[in-house]
Amino acid sequence: MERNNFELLIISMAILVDRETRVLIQGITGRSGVQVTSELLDYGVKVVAGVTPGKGGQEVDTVPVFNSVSEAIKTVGEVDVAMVYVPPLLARTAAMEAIEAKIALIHIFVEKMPIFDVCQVLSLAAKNQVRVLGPASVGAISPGEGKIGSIGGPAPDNVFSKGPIGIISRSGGMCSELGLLITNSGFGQSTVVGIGGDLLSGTSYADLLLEFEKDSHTRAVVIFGEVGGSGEIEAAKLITDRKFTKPLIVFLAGKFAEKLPRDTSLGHAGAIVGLEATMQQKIKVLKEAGALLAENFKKIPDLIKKAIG
Amino acid sequence: MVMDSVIDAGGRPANYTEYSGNPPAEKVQKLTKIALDREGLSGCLVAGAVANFTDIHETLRGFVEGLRQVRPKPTYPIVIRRGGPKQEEAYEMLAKAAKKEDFDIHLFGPETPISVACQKMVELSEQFKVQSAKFKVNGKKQF
Repeated sequence: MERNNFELLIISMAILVDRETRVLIQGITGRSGVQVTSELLDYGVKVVAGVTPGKGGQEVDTVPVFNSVSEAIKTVGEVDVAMVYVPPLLARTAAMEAIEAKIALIHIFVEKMPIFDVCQVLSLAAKNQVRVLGPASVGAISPGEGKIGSIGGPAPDNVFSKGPIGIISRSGGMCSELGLLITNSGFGQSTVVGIGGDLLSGTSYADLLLEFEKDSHTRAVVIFGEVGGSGEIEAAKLITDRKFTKPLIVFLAGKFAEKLPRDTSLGHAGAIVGLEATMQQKIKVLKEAGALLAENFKKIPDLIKKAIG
Repeated sequence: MVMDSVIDAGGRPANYTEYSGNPPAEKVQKLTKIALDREGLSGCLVAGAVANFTDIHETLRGFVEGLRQVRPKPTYPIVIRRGGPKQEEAYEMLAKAAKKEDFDIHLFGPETPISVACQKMVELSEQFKVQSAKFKVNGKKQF
């Protein structure tokens, strides 16, 4: 990202993706790769290259296809984001290729990626100081600016609008559902991020809160919390440590699940009852830190109004 | 979240399944058959968020095909709340199927919050239970 500070100051109105973001798509010639390419181009995103080994020289929707990431970068120049849209068992190789090319953000859309492969990818990414979003992440959208991944599908304007609210959810569907709810209540969004529901994720709620803290256009953040994991606890700790100082609104889904046997797995692979923290612990820690808990989904806009007027 | 809403509205889930990631119709068809293979159901709720990349027509086509194979034929209310790619085509298909096969399907789109659709399901389910009880007493069908 070669920009001077002055430019950064003007266009920093979102996190992860803005209108200057240059995107490369791995697996661009596959069914979902072709689909997402057309959606991104329709949204005005700079999709500068695609990669599918053996299909170099082809084009998808005017986007040139290369045999490898390094070959693509050599021809089209640096890219900011690599989106991984390959079959699950090829995701490790594809993501590692992008990490080795030092692409700053690797978005892994792929679902059902083997967990050991995820371990290897995340460890290599950490070594190379590259951010991984996902796996099983729907992507991120900064309404009116740009998007990565399949978030909002072919009609993102139906649910998302530009404004001051950051949204984070593991679930892609809930990103849209929250976008719709918040848009309908008169607030727009700075950036909406689906982090993916797997047991291991490259980017946590806390990682994104730190980004939203720095983003001048974000005035409050809404998190759609779930059963399992300790992401909400880490988020609460950021507030306690004064590293996140904006209003944080949290909705926790799956309260019924506490009545199910411990270790029951629901929906997302990472949604395991009682894993790391129970619902009660999450509620307690978040409340003590000063987060605003939405007792039901419909109350989220009221809390936003209360927080930022 | 759907389950929380059903329970908050006073309903009791009898069975539960879910899918993600744009599955083919066949998968939804099988899931539907399995999830509805229980006696004494008083409603079927298909609720999901506004999908990003899941083909609503494809997945709900699978639901209807599964529904057709459930025995005895479901007479209980069916509430569907969904949004996303090809939702309009999907709902047109569902309305036709409901009419043709005499299914009691109630359709809701993204303008109806998930929790409201869940409340509706519980209400319809209660009505169905009352009517079924009357049917048993009177020995004749109400409609």
